[in-house]
Amino acid sequence: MSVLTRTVVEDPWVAVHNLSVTYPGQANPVLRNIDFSLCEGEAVLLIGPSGSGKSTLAMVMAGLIPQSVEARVSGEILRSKTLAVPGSIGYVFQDPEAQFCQLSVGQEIAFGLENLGVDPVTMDPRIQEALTTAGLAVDPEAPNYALSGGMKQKLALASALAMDPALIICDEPTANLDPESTSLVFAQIAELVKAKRTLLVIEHKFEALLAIMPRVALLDRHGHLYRVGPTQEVMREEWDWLLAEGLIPAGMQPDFNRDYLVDRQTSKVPLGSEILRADRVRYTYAKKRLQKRLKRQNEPIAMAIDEVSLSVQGGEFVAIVGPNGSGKSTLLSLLAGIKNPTEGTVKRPRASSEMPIPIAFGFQNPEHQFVYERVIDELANRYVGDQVPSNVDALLGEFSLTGHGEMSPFALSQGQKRRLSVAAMVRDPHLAYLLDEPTFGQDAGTQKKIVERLQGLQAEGRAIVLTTHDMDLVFRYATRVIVLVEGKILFDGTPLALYQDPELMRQANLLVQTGTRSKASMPLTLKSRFIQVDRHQAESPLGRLNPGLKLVTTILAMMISIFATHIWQGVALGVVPMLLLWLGARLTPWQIVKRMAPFILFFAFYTWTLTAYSRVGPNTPTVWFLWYRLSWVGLHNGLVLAFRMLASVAFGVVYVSTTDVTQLVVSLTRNFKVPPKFSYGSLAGIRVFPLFEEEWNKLRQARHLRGKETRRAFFTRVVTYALPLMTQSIRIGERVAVAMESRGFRDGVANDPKARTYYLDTPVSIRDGLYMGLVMLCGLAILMYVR
Amino acid sequence: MQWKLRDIVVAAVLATACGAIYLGWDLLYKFLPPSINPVAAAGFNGLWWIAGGIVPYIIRRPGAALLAESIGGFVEFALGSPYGIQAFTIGMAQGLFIELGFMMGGYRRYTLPWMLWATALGGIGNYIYSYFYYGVDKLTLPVQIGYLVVTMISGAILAGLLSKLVGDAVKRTGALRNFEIARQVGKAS
Repeated sequence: MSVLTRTVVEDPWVAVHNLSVTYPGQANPVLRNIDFSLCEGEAVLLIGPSGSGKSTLAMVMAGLIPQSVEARVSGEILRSKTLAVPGSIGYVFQDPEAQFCQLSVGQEIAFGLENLGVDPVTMDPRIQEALTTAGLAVDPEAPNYALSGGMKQKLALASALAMDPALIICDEPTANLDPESTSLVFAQIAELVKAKRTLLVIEHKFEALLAIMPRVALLDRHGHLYRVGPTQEVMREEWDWLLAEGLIPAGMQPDFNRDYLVDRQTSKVPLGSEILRADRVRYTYAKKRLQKRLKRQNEPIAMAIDEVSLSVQGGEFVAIVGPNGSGKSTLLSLLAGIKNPTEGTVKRPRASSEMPIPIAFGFQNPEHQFVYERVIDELANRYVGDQVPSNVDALLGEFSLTGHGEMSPFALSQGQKRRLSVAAMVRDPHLAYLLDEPTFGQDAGTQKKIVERLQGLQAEGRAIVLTTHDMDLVFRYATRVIVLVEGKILFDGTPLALYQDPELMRQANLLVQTGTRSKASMPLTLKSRFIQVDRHQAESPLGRLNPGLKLVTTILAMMISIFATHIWQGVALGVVPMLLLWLGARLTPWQIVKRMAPFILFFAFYTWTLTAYSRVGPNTPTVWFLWYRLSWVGLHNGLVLAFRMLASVAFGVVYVSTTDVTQLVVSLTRNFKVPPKFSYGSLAGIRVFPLFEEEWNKLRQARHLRGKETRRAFFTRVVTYALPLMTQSIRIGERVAVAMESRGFRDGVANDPKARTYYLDTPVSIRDGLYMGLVMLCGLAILMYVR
Repeated sequence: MQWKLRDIVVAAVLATACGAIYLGWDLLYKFLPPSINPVAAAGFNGLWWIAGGIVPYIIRRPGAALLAESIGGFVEFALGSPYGIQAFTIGMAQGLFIELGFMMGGYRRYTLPWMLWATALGGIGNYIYSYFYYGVDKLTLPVQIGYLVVTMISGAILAGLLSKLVGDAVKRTGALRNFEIARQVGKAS
């Protein structure tokens, strides 16, 4: 196979002829013999079933395949001169968590501009302009990881727009978003189409886009381009094909009239006895201490769930809907007993010997539930060796997993993972099945299989409770729907009653809309708990020093402190960084005490150890205290070591309190000539950190629910925790790297510090030398003169 | 052998996670009974350079151990390690010695013996650093030798063997298809 990439002069901007693409390790090509082109001013919607190669085609068009993502490519790729320039193609990826590499909104947008070599002086106005065009009204200094999903996608769009790309590619930008955020992104796409920008949009919830995008391209499940043409015409003529490929729910009318969905016979399952009951349940994420303080001050406590009462009976199929952050998942966890209500009570069936786990719970991300290394063990919930139990075999068949039994659950496709997690849930009988967004990101086939299996359980008299954003699912299968907004129940009734109240649905943001420009606000609940420097400290004399040189000084200071042998030397060396914190970093004495307190406890402990356990000579005076023999020599040694450590820790606190990690990265590259790909690549990896905490908590909850069979040997446990965390972080890391490369961070720009410009300045001045000199002088003077 | 951007980002993600583990280990270590023999306490040391085992095992590029240990140590420091900036500098010392081990294998050999060997060398880095900074020089010679040997064994097990177990398990999930660990299959692993 060979690929020919040519640069042509004019229209079309980008074209592929006879293009085939095969990923390494896969036998079949994902795209076969594609002929496709994109001309200036065209806006094309690309649709097809999952696995049909939509993203692959987009990445070939963008030049990311085969440069950034390895694949065997054959055929011909023609690109016009306009698109051969770096930064001429803006790419918005699917995963809002995995396409940023900086810590603040402004720096994120600037990153692409830096790669283009834009003059830093002109960056601020361009950042503002991009934010305005993308409809994102936030401070450029806001931390980007605290944005909501929809705002993150807008930021991705702003980052692309700032580079003034000729072609913008949006690759399922709303796949991970709720209807409200989806509406935000679609409204922005509509603006771009209106402005005659050249666009390629991949979208799997495409209904609302049909009115916006003038052209549509269809890919079939084998990777062939099935048809390209004007949207209205294609939709009219290919409706049956779309139904057959599962791109539109079965039974849907060409005008997307949903009456047929709610028209169905209402469930004939007789309602059984009450299984779950919540009485005036309230829940807050605020810590106990904060709750007490707020109560004292008579301030309201933010409630995630507020006065919710409901009862679920056997034979019910309950869907909980509502915008993101409305408390759907929280309510579900409260019902399942994963969380305990702050106020009110939840009544659940008691476990019995016939039914040890009366309530089954399914996490949104199926990976959180996997504890075994093979699919068959996962299904049996124990290590089964070569003897596959017959019920496991039956489950494999029922959930189309036959032939995958020996595989690692993590190696399955998204759809297979979800089917496996549901199969594991239905293995043993339970009274109620609670599932958090079970159809999220699944293709039509998997959705149908899962929901119909749940319906079967419902028919047997079990209760099903799930959260979802998919209103088609609600109308089609649910017997009861609960609309949750801001932790309160806004509606509790039949899907038909909800369907007949479009005003309510609009109010609760249950539908994807276009045309309205909803306002986006910053979620206030997320605190920045990451390495972040207070503005006051950043503007202090120490905050303005060069971060790289300051790090060198800090290390030198630590090296000097090691030569302290007398207690007063230790004390004096400890006093220096305290003074620096006070005078140089402008922390108040109280702040200094608060920052140092945890360390002081440690060193008190150290001192005690040496006092009580130091080996002492026979003539050394000692004091007996309880059963410890305390010695002055030991106390002295302990104090010296403690103060020495304290000094080196305090210098560290000086550094961390006054240094922004992004500036350190910039300084490493600008002043210390570290290739940008190492410094910026590391920063991109470090910024993934806050995700770990969330993942870890979910894993613990999932393990807790699995019961005691899964508490096994230490090493196995390490592996079962490490696997989901690592596969997840590796996936995110890879995506981030591709996203960075799509913004021009490749080749020379990534290797040569001089090939790009820098938004942040990290000048080296005489002050850096003075600081280093001062610290060294103080240190040496203390060692020489203090006795 | 060229570093790709995704090698660097993934190395940093994993090393950052290790940095958080180091911090947890710092706190656990402090709760050891104060009377514990230094040789016995050295058995704990190895986990402090697991980033230097797991990252080179997956990424397999020159400098991977040093980069991973620097980032891991820096994150441990920045998150508030009771060892302060020393968490960062000792990380570099350990990373440097692990690096030596993989360099001797020409950055091509990552079999179990090589993993144990390289991560055991990390223990030498730890020993040298502790000799100067954590009072190991004050111990008697036999205790020092015991400290060094136990530290190296601890490194080989907690940083070497554990890295290989975890790395192989992740490889079986297929998540590492685009990394050197999956490419070198059949060659030497």
